[in-house]
Amino acid sequence: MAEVLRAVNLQQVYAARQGLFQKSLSVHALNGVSFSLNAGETLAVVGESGCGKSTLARALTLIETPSAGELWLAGELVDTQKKPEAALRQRIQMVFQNPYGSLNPRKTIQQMLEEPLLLNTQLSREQRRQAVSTMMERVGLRPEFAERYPHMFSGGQRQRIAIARALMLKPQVVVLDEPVSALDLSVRAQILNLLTELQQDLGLAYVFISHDLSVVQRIADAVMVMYFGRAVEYADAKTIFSHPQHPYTQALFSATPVAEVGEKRERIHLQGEPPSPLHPPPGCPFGPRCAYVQAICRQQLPHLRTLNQAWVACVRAEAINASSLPNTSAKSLLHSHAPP
Amino acid sequence: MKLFADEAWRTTWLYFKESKGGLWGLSFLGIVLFCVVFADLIAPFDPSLQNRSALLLPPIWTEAGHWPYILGTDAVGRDLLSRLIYGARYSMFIGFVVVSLAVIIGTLLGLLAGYYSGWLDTLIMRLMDVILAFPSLLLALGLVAVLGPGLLNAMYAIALVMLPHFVRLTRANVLSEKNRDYVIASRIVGASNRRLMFNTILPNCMAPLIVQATLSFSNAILDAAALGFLGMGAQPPLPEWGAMLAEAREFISRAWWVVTFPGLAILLTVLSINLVGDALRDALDPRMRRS
Amino acid sequence: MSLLTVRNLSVAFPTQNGWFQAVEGIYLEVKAGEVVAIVGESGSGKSVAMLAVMNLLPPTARISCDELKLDGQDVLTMPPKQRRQLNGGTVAMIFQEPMSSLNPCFTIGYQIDETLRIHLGGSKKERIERSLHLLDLVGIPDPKRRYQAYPHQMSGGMSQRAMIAMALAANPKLLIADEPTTALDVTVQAQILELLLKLQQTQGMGLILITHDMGVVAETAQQVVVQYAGQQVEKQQVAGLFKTPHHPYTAALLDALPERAPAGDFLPTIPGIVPGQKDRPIGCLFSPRCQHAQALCHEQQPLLQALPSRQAAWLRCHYPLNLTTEAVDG
Repeated sequence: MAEVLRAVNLQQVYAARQGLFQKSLSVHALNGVSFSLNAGETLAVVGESGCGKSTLARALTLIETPSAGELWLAGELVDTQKKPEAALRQRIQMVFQNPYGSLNPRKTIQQMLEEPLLLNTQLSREQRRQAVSTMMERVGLRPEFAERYPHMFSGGQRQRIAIARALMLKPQVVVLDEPVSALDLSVRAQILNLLTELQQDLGLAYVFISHDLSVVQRIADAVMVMYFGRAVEYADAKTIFSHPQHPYTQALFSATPVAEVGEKRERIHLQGEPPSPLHPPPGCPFGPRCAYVQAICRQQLPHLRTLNQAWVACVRAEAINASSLPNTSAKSLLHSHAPP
Repeated sequence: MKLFADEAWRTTWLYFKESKGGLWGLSFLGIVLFCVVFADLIAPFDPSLQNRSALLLPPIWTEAGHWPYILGTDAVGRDLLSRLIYGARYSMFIGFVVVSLAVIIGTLLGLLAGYYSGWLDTLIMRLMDVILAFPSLLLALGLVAVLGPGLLNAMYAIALVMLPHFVRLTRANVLSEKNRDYVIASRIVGASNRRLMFNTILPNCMAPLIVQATLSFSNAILDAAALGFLGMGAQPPLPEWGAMLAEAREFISRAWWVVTFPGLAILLTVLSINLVGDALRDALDPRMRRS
Repeated sequence: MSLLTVRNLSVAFPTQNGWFQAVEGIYLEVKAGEVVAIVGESGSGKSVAMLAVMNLLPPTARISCDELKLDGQDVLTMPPKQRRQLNGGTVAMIFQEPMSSLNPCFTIGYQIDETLRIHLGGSKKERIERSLHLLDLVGIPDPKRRYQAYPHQMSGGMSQRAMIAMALAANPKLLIADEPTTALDVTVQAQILELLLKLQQTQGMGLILITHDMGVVAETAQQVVVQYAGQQVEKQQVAGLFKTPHHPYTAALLDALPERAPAGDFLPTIPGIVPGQKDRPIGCLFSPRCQHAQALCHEQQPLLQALPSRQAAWLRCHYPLNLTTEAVDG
């Protein structure tokens, strides 16, 4: 399938002022992230808060200019220094985590959904109305509701509206920033199904940002695990879930609770919390929390390298995986449940 | 620009009518507005018509009072009631113009300051701080002294004095709204800065502004009356309430009615506007609503 | 002896359109050393019920209850002052947002000390010692430094640990944790859950865990209560609940989980949404969304009844699922 999105060594550096008279420190929110995404596929970006997921989303949707790196959209190099043109913007859209904050409370659904058309196309009023009506039906909303305000809808319906808005311009790529984590359990499955259905019908490529591994496993084709602004492991979903290689990935998988009673999985205990971005540790950023850390980890920054069909940023990956320590942890997540 | 939909107005009214004070205020304002519109029809006399044979006539319910001077007359024999009715015009006019000026300019500046933080923000906000650093009436007085006394100049001065409140309020709201997801969502689909400011963010900042505007309305009337009283606002023979008070100053001990009625008119109008403003704040603030 | 006994607890809130029944007929029994999970979606009344137990609801709420006993003491007839003494002493609660549950104006140490002062007394020196011990107990490194830290100087995980330390200050017999890990990252969540379980075991506390995360339930709880729209629909031992859910809602909820759903592109879903105040059905509250609903379900509300074959299992359903297979697995 055709590649629709490629990021090469994306970086985002913010200046953080410490105090009035201290010199400002630079914070690498995004530190050399690269990936490629084909039409109809889903790349899941997994990580904990502060790992750079949201910064990546902002860079991909052209809201923020990355400090360095290249972004290719449908084979075209995006000039990130320039204000993005309509034609470019139409190709990549976004759905936010919280459907209560992402819809303008003072606008009707009609106004919200037609805004992309109003700004980017020359469609007439009637054509826009028609397009909104079609799209609402497409995402499972009654078109009669177009004149209503967001507060009259439930969380799940709001997320449908947000998805509809993202699709109004017929994008090729949609960045989904935790699209179901603010939703109730029973609604979550409805929205996930809608996303799958839309992807199949429209050939959309998804960048699916999430911390929920059970959801990721369900819908991702490829997974990128991020830690401290870097990708620590990047592989297709089958490989990474059956055989996570980076110690952080392993810890993350084993920490995820699984709705299954019975065999207690061996849990990798992660000590502490991610380091402060103002004072990054020397060498591997995961070093201070890693159970397998050795002197070499503190000396050099590990770069992504291929290892058993995956990209892994760990100098000791082979040694770790050769040892008998519990990398089986993810298995129970994968082949978890057979229907009764 | 449609800031509120009919639906929003309806729910606001639903909450508004919960407040007794608000309703009282609203009815009194209705009377005042009626006077403003139909002053020519209901006022028994021309406000500047002098009757030399009826100087300082007391109100009709006192022994010395007589028809048709219901509230009595002032020192040059003008009918007090007629002057009060016409005076309502000036007060409402002052309130309306001053608040409009302050709201429009203040919102604009606040929007700019909040949206483009940085040097523009610093410049605008420091300017506002300078204005705030003066006692407001003193500043207005000084400005009128420079511009020359007169109702119009007084109104400009009062509007300027009120400006910082609107700028600060707007800026604070813009700051809290501008990073909300719905604004970013609009930006992703390509909304320009102007559209984001006026179409996306501003309508979500309106509720506190409306309340502030209502409350400022009464302040403007008070300030204008104060300036009038000090001889810097409306000039005689304009029947502006503050100026009427000023003219009547020397008769306080002899003829209580010439000061009482204009004072009462100011008091009641300001009180009702404040009551309406309070009720409106409760009605527009979602946190005050019982769900 | 049971630490907490609740019989027929109902809570209603006044709204513009009359009373809203947030919680209806809740029964609960927690013994020492037991972990009970209350699971439900938003609006299921799981937090409200526990706030009612803690006497933390606003005075406008209308609460009715047949029996409410904390550690053998009848709470309903207790004078308010004595009732307040129980909070933080016999029963403590921690909340979802550690950042907003801690007062930003005071140091962690001061806030722990406050609880100690109210419930245990003792000299300043003793209290500081106990505070440092508590901070150490909940796994906060360098307790002496953290004692003087302000909440904003700590991460979410550390704040939640500090909250737990405060809750444990007066050796409560029952700890109610309202979504204690929802705001936290996965790896930190694992740490906090483990800490809670470890403390619960070593101190012999009862623990009520309010959550919407089935994974957390499966890995921590012994008893599970499932709530829907203010009612309890099912209570079972955790193993039984996950293996053979009897209520269609529980079954549907479990099926909709991405990790449990049968393979394929699409997940099984529960159609519709939780009923609100206006569209409350006459019959079973779940009937409009239930695949197994029959005429009776739409007409008559099922009562909460005990399952005779199971220990301490209740159910609110006319036509329970999986009852035949029940004998097979123990």
